[in-house]
Amino acid sequence: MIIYGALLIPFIVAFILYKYFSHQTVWWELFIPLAVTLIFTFSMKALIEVVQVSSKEYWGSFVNRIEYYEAWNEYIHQICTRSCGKNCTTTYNCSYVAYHSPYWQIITTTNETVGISQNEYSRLKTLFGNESFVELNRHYHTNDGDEYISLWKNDSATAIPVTTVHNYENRVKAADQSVFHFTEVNESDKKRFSLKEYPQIKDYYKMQSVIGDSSEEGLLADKKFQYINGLLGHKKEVKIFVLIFQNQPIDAAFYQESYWSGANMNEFVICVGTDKERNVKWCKPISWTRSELLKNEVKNFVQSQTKLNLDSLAEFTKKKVDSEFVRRSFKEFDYLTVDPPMWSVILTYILTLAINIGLSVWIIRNEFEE
Amino acid sequence: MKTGIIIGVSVLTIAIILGTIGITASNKEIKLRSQITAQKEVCEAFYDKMWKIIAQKGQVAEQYKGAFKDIYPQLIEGRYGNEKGGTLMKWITESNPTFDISLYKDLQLSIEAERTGFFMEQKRLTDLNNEHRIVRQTFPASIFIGSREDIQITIVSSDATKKVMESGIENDIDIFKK
Repeated sequence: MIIYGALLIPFIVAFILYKYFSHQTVWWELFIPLAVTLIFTFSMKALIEVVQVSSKEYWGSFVNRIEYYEAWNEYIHQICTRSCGKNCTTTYNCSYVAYHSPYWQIITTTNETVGISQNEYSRLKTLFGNESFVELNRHYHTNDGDEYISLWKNDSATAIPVTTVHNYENRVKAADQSVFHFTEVNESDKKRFSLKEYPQIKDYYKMQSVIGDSSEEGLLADKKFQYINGLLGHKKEVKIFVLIFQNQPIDAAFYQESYWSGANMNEFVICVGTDKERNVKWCKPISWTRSELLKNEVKNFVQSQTKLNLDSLAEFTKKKVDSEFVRRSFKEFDYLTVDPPMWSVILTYILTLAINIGLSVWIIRNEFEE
Repeated sequence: MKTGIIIGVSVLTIAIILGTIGITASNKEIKLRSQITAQKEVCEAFYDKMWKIIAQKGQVAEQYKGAFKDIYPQLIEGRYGNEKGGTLMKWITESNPTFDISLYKDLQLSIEAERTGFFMEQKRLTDLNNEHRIVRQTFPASIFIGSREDIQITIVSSDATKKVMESGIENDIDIFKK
């Protein structure tokens, strides 16, 4: 609320104008700084809050179709006008040829579109093996561009998992007074517990699912979990991650939870602690889901393993998440008030002051006088 | 200059700003109060939910429902022991002497899930109450709604925990003794 203190500035400005520049100021001009400041302050507060609560979550799906649109051109016919002196305009032909570059894209099973490179298209085209031509009947100039498509046959052998990014409102992350808010993790704790960075989308649509295990088993399990994410991503609105911590105490999982701010609202993160021989030491699932039974079942399943078996964990998790996972709606945290950070409050004050000074100068110098 | 108009418009502007702040704060307070009441009911429903789990999985008769409230705070705190002994096992075998011990693991898993679920709901209740206090006590909303009543919420915990929180000393380190 301290941000609204900026609304006092136009009152002070109005007083100064009234007191010291009364001859250069018309009475209604005194309310211009107030009106502008009102709009500006409320807009700043709203904008800052949108940025503060904005979070990204990731959805899983499969490539359903790949498309290649060839390059083409079209003739744009138009007439433009130009000035030829005072009260004089002439028209001329400004038609041109518009060139449209070729592009390649995938359409996911959730009907989302992701742009890809020509090489990636070629790779997927070979995998699907059913490219077909589509005549687009364009009104082209000299180059007729058409479309080529390949379709996924709905089999697991050629299923290509896709991860897409979506925005949602996460007030918990921004409301530091909330008991659900996680404290920030410092650099030394990140190093001490080998905390994992949030994986990035690579090669247009790929995202790692098993993090912290570069063994052959780990890489195979990563593929399997990516597949599960593609399969359940849309159906259950879930994204599963497995984080492996070698030779770390269970505290690492708690720090990881804080580092990822409790994870996104659609995520189910399984933290597993092992020793160098891959013997399971602990397990802690992190998720906002209300299905606590799911968390306990996965935890017990992992802890019942002597040597970590990611393959059987994938099977178990797939079955359990499919039947029990319920995504939590962050709408239930709408009650949380989000205070803007101090730097943004100071910035708002400075900009409000600058706007008021600028308007005051204009008010004093303009042609309106008392 | 028209001093009267200037003063009039200024007062009106200030009144509109203050009125907006007051109405917004008041509405938020009422909304939070209602959410806290609803959340209290959610927490209370967990008692019944946990009783039903025990009644079904532990085959405990309805007549023991009254006595269940005595061990409820300990279950909520996770102080229920295991199949070899502890609060829960003792209570079930007293209420149902023919209880099949092999079913204990499944019962424990369900109780654990309910316990964590209850903890999350209590956490939300605390959070709502915290937000309610902040809304009422921070300036400028405090001018309009500062005098409104605080809401009393009850956090379920055992006598042992209350003693520990009051004294700051935890001597009962052998609570899971077999």
